[in-house]
Amino acid sequence: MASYIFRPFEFVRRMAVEKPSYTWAIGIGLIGPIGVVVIPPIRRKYFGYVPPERIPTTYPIPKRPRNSPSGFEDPDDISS
Amino acid sequence: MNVFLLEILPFVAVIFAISLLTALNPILAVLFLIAVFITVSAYLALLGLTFLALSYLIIYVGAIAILFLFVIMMLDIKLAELSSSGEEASKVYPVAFLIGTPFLWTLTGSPLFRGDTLYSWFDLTTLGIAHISDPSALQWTNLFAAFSNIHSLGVCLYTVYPLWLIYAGIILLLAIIGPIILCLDKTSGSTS
Amino acid sequence: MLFFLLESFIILLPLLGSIAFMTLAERKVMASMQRRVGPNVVGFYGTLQPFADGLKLLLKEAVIPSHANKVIFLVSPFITLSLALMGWAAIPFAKGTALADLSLGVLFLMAVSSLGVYGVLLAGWSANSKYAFLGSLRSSAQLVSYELPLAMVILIIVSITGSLSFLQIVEFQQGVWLIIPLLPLSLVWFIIILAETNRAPFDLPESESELVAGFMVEHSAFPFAFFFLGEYASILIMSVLTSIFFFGGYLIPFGISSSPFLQSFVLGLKSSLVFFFFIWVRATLPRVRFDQLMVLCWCSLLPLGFAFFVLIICTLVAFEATSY
Repeated sequence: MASYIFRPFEFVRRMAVEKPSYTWAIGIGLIGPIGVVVIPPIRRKYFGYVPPERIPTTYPIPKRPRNSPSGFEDPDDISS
Repeated sequence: MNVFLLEILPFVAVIFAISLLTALNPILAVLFLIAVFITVSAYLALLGLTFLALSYLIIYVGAIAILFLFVIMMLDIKLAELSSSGEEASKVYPVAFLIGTPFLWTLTGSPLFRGDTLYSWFDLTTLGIAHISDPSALQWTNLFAAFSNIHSLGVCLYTVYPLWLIYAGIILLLAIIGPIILCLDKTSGSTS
Repeated sequence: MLFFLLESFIILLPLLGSIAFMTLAERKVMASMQRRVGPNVVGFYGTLQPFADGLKLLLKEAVIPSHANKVIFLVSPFITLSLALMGWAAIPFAKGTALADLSLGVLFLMAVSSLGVYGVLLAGWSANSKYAFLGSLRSSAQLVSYELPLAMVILIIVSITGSLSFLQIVEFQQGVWLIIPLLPLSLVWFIIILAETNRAPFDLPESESELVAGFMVEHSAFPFAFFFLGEYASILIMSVLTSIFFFGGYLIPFGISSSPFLQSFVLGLKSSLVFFFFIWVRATLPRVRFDQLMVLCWCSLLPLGFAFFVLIICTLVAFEATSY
């Protein structure tokens, strides 16, 4: 017993015949998470992939002291 | 036209809700429940909350009410047993009062729940802003880019309320697993 | 208001005409697959046969069972047909040519198609007959079950294209039609749409040869015609959905630019090919048993759908190919 511990390959082969849909579903589903871990390092190392720059969500604040804008106030007397 | 419908739809929903409570035939009651759902989702769609309206239709009308209808249809219910007289029906009024008062209290915006009325929950302009304790979590650029309901809901859920989202997910997971465990037959230990 | 009604009629009238000719096409194609002639008397080579059938159904007496719930009995065929026709509001026929270009169009179509179960359930219940009632339970169980893998496949397509709008899903496929990267999933989709539209080999709702005709046993004449039209309208909408999701909708291969007229013609051609697939399967495969139908849905299609969902989301993340 416990053939899935001692003889995993034979167990998977038997399950692929007995319950093919579950076996293939688990197999296909496992490819994905493994791929997330494996693929990006390979792409960076062997294919020279450079991740794109992140899209800016804010604008850079200048390092100089901020001066509040002046000269744009409404005129005191609004003649319509 | 839309304003007129917005005024008339809540009344229609309330009429359907009353006939849901007074219907003697349980299947007709479920049908009135479905009518309430549909009118409410039409109301939400007219308010501009199309995503909420459509998910309301898919989840409540398309899945839950169908299961209600399915189960009630398969039950063997005699119509004569269900016609309760006035005295029996009035037994539930105290309970209804106890449950209904806090709900109406919340709904109408009592001093205890100021600013938390039901309308403000569904107000599109404050959907991302009203319930945030830390306003810097939601930058104005995000709101500016969010054109659709899904975007603003997603921004709100994933940046401000991730913990609540996880809570809801765990509750749903329990709701899936719980019935399976309740239905397990412990007497027969055979695994076929 | 008047303009809106006119727009709806411009879509609905050709739709009803195409439903009529779909029934004719089905009979002719099945006849030639079984080496028969098929309808060939009414009109030129039987082209007017569906209209003759429709007139016959109009002239017949609509029998209402005496203990039936008459309102629901008469309303349920109407619900089925109108819900099957409502979905057409969101379908784009050419670039920018849709009755309502909803940003949540896919969601709208799913909501409308999930409501279609009510026509089946109510028709069976209101007839007050055991056969119709059991038939309605059977077919609504089938429809509700197969909605899950259907939603799964749609979720995968939406996660790839990054939009719930039909126009953006079509425009996404300008590089490659989605059937090429998603070939295994498209096989799952073809099985699901056969079951979702109650077609052979999954036509348990009305399996004429062994069970009685299912939820619409008691419906005759015009209510029956409404059910019939609703069924074929949902087949047509599934064909169009297949061509939008997997065959690039109104796009012409190799990026040839074209006029809206040609684009809608291309969409019609693709949908007709998918409808031919429906007929082909019906003429070829024998009917499955009900338990086989349920096992196929819950134990094969749904796990495969989940597996592909995980795989495709992970692939998008691994290659940083998310379009949003």
